[in-house]
Amino acid sequence: MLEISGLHTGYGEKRVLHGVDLTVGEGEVVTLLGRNGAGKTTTLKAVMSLLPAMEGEIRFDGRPLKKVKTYDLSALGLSFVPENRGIFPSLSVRENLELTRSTRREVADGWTMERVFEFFPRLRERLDNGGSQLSGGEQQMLAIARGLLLNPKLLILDEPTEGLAPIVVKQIHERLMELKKAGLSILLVEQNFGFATTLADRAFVLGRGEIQWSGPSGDLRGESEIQHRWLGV
Amino acid sequence: MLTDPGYLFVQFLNGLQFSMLLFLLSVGLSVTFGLMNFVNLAHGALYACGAFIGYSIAVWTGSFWAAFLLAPLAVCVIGAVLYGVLIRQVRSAGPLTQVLLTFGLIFIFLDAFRVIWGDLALGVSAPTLLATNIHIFGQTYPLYRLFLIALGLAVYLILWLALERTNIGAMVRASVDNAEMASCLGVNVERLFFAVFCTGCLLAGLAGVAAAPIFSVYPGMDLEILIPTLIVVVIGGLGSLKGAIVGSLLIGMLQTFGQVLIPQLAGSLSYILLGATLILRPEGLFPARAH
Ligand SMILES: Nc1ncnc2c1ncn2[C@@H]1O[C@H](COP(=O)(O)OP(=O)(O)OP(=O)(O)O)[C@@H](O)[C@H]1O
Ligand SMILES: [Mg+2]
Repeated sequence: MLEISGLHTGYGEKRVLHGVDLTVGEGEVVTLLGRNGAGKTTTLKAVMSLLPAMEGEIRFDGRPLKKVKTYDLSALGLSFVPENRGIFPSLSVRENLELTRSTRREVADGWTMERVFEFFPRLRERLDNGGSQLSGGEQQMLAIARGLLLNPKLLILDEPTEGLAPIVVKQIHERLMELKKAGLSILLVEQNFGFATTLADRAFVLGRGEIQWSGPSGDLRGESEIQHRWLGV
Repeated sequence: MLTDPGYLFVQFLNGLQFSMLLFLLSVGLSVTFGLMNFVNLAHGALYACGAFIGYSIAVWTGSFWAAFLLAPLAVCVIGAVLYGVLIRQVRSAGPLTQVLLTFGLIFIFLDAFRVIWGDLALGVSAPTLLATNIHIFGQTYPLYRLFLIALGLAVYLILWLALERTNIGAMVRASVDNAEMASCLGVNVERLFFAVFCTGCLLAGLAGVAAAPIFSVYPGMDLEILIPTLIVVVIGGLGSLKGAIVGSLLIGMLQTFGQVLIPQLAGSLSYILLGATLILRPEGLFPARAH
């Protein structure tokens, strides 16, 4: 479904990625792990066409994304929940969600507001609050809910557990597990090793701008050398 | 005189009328600024365009209302052409390039006005329907000026509804907050920016043609209004409708009453307010983007 091959990119003169290869299959949950500053977010930005690929290629459903603009990706089925969650503070919770109305991928039996509220009941209570009045956990739920309303084929999450209380992390884990069971493909960037490896089918470890290890995430739990060297676990 | 309530009320109306003019000009400038960090110093020149084109249409057709409707549209088209030919190319260039380019445009427009319309001040008369005086508190007041106040308030109301109550308005606010995130959700921010830019040009043209019966029309009229407009944008805060209206009211009233009450200081009052705002609230009173 998503194929990244030989990706080089960075910021101006500064190269961050030197040939990243990563794939996400249909219905698969894949996690991308790495230390602070390893280039995980940079990889996701390249996928979302927010950064141009200097070398290499990114394909989605077999289609090269090189010339595709960021704003056309939602219609192709890519949904991105960024690390700061990207909630619009000037918009109410309802408006944050309804923004997707005219830009989402139209599918039979897609996500509706009602389904989203069943999934995250907390959001229904906060509907008329401003985006900036939510707690961190609520913001994360809103960001995921908004991402789902686009009816994605692939949901991309950048550190969804960052700064959240353990109980909220557990809730988010349950919700993502449910999405996985429903067959949604997910690309998950995480620092929380346990969270990521219990959700994901496969894991990629990023270090020095390249993939240092990849394989079934169950195997990674046994690789203490890799964990120590590239993740500092 | 200063204790005469009728006189003060007339000054209040004058202040309100000037505020509304500032609002029509500053709102487009502020929202384009907030949306894309793009500052268009030629915004005042578009205001003058509205006045000059309005003058010519009024002369040709003999109807102020024809000018009132067509001049803003013409300015909107000029804005769209400017955007396509010049502004789009410097969208990702730094602020210095943008300031220099739009500053240069001011002089190009100035010369164009001189060549086409000459150096002399031109007069546009108010439409017959509104060319009377009304009596308030024992004072006479031109009905046309009241019309301008109503026009400003109506535009405010329409913009408020468009921004706060429609999906496109929500997209504009979202893009001002965080353009990258908006584009990840499928919003074509560049196209939105173009639409907002053209709306701003339309309103500048509207301000120009509406101001023509009050001030005369002459090359350089734009520079006089550009400075207070920029002050409004900075005081109000970038990108917000509320900031534009509150800033306009503050500067409009301050300038009007300043001239009446403390004429020796009138010229510097706006700058004093600007300085105070920059020290106390550097982002303006109601910046759209939360930090
Ligand atoms: N806008 C930018 N301009 C210049 N350098 C940047 C920019 N954003 C990130 N970097 C640099 O690129 C490198 C990779 O950053 P990136 O954000 O991709 O890391 P990350 O793996 O997501 O880290 P974290 O876990 O802290 O989120 C870092 O060295 C960072 O300093
Ligand atoms: Mg990151």
